[in-house]
Amino acid sequence: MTQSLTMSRRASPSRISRTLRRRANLGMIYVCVTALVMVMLIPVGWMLSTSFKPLKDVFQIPPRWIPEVITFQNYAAQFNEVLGTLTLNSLIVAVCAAALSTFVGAMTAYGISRFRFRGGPVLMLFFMGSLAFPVPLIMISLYGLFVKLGLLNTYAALVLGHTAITIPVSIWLLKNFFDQLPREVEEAAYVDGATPLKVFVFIVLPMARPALAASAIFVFVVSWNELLFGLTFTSTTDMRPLPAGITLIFLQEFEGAWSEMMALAVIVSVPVLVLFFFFQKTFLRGVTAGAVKG
Amino acid sequence: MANVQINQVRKSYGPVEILHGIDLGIKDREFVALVGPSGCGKSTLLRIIAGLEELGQGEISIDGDVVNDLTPKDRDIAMVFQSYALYPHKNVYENMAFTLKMRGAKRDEIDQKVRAAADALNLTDYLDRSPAQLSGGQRQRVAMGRALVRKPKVFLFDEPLSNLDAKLRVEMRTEIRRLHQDLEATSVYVTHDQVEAMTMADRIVVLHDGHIVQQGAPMELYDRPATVFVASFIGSPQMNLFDGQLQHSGGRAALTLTDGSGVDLGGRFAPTDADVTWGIRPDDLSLCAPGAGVLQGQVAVVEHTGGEVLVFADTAIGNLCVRAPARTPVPRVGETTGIAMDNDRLHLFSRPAGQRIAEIGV
Repeated sequence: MTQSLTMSRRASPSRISRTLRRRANLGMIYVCVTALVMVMLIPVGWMLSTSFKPLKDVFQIPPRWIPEVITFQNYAAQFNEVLGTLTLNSLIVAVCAAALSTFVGAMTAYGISRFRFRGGPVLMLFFMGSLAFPVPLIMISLYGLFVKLGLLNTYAALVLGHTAITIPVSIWLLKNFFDQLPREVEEAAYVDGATPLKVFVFIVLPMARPALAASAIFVFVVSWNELLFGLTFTSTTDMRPLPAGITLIFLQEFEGAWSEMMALAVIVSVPVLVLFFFFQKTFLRGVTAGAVKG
Repeated sequence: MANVQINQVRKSYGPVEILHGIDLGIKDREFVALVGPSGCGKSTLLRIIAGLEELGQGEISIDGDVVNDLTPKDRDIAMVFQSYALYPHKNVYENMAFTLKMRGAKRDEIDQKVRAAADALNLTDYLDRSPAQLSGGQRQRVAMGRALVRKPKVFLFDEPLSNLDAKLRVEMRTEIRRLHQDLEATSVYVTHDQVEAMTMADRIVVLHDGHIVQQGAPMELYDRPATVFVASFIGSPQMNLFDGQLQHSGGRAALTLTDGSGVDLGGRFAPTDADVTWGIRPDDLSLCAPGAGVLQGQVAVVEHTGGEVLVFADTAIGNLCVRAPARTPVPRVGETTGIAMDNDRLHLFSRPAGQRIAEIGV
């Protein structure tokens, strides 16, 4: 009796090997994820390190992660009128692009999700395929268009450009979310007396808040960091967004003010970090919607 | 309130026809239950009445007006969904007020009507809560409150109690029926639960494969099922059904069972020779001493439900169920029992068509 009880409590060899295998797999995943995070953090770390170094120490051999001399001068030098202008420009463009891309994306995604029409799935593939277009290619055609429309060196050019490159992702993200919203709620609203537009505005959009937030955050970040359109579509400092402004201010023909540039890069990363810090749960809920059946 | 007329309604999804020309009239203030197994088309019919599903062919009129081309909002109907379909971002008050708001009601009127409906449904204490903070029963009450804040012409219910536990279902059943009586409403109620339909409806409409197979008062369907399908669908536990032979002997019809024994039908049916399916409800069978009765069976399962005892026995003609009153002595599992039947309550159906064979004089 005692022996059989002891036997039943003891784990079988196959169970032990299964547990070991599971742990080994988990260990491998952790190693890979850690390596990946390290690779992604190196440039960020280098940016931080450089921002606290005097310019003469930037290319020191061997390179030093912790500066020999820590200076805050690089930061202090940034708080001037130009930074204010560039930040305001970027903020206006990113907020407008986020709103426009998300709103138009939501309407398109809802239409494709709810109304069956020939070519709907092909249209979705086309949106996905458009992500493969090289941005410089789009830039050339957009440039021609903006010249004709007289939009060069305006916020509108940047907002439209950033909307154009982000809207496929917005549509995909939002369509996945709309697909899993229960249709009965919308049907209840129709029975309650709402028109299709009122159903969209009063019922669907509030229910889609996580996905709308995810889309808006994604577009904001892309727009905030975007360099190429900023350089091409603007020609004066009062219209230039931050990345283009930083590049043109600090990278001269024979010299780069790397320390100050990195200090400014750290400063302009803060809004994005704050955005993610406060909305990371909403963002994840939005982007993972539809990924798991639940 | 209003009557609803459904004429020759057909509906197809691609090449598959779901409803094959439904004709149905629902009278003012009537409570009609549409019942049938999954996929019979009952929910599709309800959604067509609501305007949520496009009508293939036919005509739907509410209160004499053809509503085929009207959107749901213009049909003046209210609907309660199986999944409650509450607006998750609105609290109980806003959920109930939404329909009035959409119809341009004034704030005072909205407030008065919402509070009256909440009072009728015992929801007054929950008006500020969001649907996520409510139990299933409370959510279903809100869904009903949303339907009754305005007085629509027709109430439509799409399996509203399916997601509730058994106890709540019984409570809500009574509540819906009470509301129907208080509001003197015309109601169409879809359910796959025949007990729900039996207990709530003035009239039951049984659908099978997109056809109406029988309609009538609950007891009419229970006592005189028109087909084998209705006989097996209405009643719980279901009717015992077996093959047999209708034969005439000495100018009277008699039933021969598959074990060769005969049952005198007492002149209820016209004397003829035919293959039949015969049925008898568990209530019309009784247990008796071994050796007595029409059939002998070995008890396989005994179920005590509290108010009654269900005895399932293996007999020479197949397995059958006998309903006995509670607290009566019943044989134990494995024991042999005699089974007597009330021959006057026996049902006959043609085979293979499955249509009821009418009694003489009925």
